[in-house]
Amino acid sequence: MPLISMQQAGKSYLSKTFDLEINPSDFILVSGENGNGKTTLIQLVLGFTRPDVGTVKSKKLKIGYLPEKAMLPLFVKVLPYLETLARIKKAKIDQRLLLSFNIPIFKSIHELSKGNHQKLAIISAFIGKPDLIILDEPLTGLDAESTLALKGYIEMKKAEGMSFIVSTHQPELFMHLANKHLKL
Amino acid sequence: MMGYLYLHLFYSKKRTILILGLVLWIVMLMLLIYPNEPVVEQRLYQLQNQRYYVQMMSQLFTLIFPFFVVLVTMDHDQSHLKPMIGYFGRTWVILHKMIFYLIVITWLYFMFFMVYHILPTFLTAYYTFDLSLNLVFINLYLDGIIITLFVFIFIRDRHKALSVLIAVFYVLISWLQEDHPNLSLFYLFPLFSSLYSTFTLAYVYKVCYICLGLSIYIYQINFETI
Repeated sequence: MPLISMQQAGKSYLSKTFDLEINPSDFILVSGENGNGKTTLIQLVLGFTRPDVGTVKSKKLKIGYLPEKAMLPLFVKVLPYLETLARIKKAKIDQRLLLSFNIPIFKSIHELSKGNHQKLAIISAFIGKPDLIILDEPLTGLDAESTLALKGYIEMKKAEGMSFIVSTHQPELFMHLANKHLKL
Repeated sequence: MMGYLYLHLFYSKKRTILILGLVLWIVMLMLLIYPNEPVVEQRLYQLQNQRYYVQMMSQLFTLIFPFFVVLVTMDHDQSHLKPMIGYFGRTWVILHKMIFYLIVITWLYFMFFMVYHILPTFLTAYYTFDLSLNLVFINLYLDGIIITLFVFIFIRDRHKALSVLIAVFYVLISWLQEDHPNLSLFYLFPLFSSLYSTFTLAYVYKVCYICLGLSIYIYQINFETI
């Protein structure tokens, strides 16, 4: 039984439709030029928008989502934010990612650099026990060291059986993990 | 989820602004309430003094309360709730959001309610607690919920400053109803009016109006593109 199945799903403003089945432990890589529907596909998977044509069938899933542009409450300090997030998701903050990203946890979120914003949003997406992780342009603003740390962490989570959808302009970084590659 | 919403809504600066606003409001009221008359005269004209206080306060509250409500609710639509919706689902997030804002409005209402009763008790000799005075407050509470629903339905993060217009609209309608009571207008916007709000059925109508607003909001949020 797939987690999510899309049949000819599309939006009126997009010339193409999507046929996709997301199963447990899948790693789906999405790449393609700007404006080809990568974010729309993700929005359809998340249920943020309904398809104008076709169908999207989904189980009740917990999805860890990293938006294209990090969406965080700006005037909150990093540590209380992460602690609150962990508390409401009834989970613990993964120290490995937090340590390898080295974010200043006592600062307010609006004081962080763009890269640190992205790192914090990535950590937030992994908190809890998500059935599926969706990363929309996860490498935006990350330095080489953090990119490698994220890649290693994703490899580890994939080995644990977590499902992923990763939309990126650098597909070669995750090619070895992917069992499906959508070129839009 | 409530903790997360609290963290986002009452971050240190906003908390300071809200507390400062409340303190300013209390100081202003103290200056307004403090009587220059001797105690004997205050007690001699007790009824007039009390009636003047009640009418002045109901006018002041209808002027100030909507702005406090809007200040608190204008940030309801935040992009950082999207990842939460992805994890917990729309219904769960929206339900918690509504309960949270109901608690906040209730808290705000109690602050006003306490100020309304406690200040004159200490500052004047004429004030006596009378349960019938609370009719204004029942109306004010229901009005607060109506304003919240208007903000939920019409205001999105892109243009949240426009939420002030809802408070201005509320004040204008209240003034209009005081000067030229109009039943049709009351049916459209059942906000506090010293004439219509005395009818018992007006409360029932308001509650139905709130239920309708709630249904519209739930329908809207379940089908809208996030």
